[in-house]
Amino acid sequence: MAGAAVKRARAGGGSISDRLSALPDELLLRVLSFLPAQQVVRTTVLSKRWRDLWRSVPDINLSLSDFGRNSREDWTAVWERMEDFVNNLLMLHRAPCLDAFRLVMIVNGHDPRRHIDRWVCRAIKDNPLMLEISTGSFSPYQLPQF
Amino acid sequence: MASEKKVVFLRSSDGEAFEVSEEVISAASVTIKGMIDEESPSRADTAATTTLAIPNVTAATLSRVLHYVNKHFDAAAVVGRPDDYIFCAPGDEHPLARFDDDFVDVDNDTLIDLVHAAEYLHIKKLFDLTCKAVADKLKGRTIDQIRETFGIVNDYTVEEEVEVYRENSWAF
Repeated sequence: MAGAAVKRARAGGGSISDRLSALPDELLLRVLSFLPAQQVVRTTVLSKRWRDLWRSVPDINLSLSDFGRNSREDWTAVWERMEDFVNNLLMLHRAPCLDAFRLVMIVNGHDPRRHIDRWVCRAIKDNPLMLEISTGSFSPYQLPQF
Repeated sequence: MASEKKVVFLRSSDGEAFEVSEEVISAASVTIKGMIDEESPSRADTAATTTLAIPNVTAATLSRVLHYVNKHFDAAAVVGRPDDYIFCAPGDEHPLARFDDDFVDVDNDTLIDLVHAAEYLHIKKLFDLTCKAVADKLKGRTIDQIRETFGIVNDYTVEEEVEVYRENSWAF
């Protein structure tokens, strides 16, 4: 099945060569570091080359707004989806160190503090060079005490 | 004497030579600055112009890189701009934001050539700009769209693909 797909791609056009996947890990990881975390993880299904790359991406970019499916959706559902994602991500991610951990959480009516504390503590273990947290003007956030 | 600008020639992998100000290229490229520093004792008291071989970069790519370098590092050497503009929102214009947008508005192969060249020549601003431009081609696209855009062949068997989706279901 996969063999047939490869053959088809090669026969279909001599010009098709996958130069993106051919980049060394270091360069691909730099490219992925500009994307939202959810999309980074999804690249795992592209092909075998991409299977484990996401685990080593040195920047983690998380924004609550990336987890909404439509504008009418209840914030609690969006929030729960993000919580599940971030818990899995932080458990399975294994970059030796982080360049940046960015978290954008504009929330009304739901107190995200205790989760953010947990994620921030976990992210700090990887010694990020940059920690960026935006919570919007209505929900000031204070870093946990260490 | 001070007004006389030193130049160097860079020879691409396919043999074309490009002239560039030594000061500008040294400010831009860590790799070339290193090459020039290595050469300098032997040419201190000769009038000969230096030609440096850049074996990994073709003329087409090198000419684009030098276009970028002259735009960004010539004036910058005098004025000294902040260089963190690539993270700015589209609204807050950096003087060269439009130039940069146009610069990376190229086909995938050209862009990937630029990523390689920026990495080899160690021009950090250009490396960040081109990597971000590749990321922008992935951003918001579905898996099928990404495969199609870059010619990525799905080499998972059906069973493997099911397994990968199952393992990472929390991300979908």
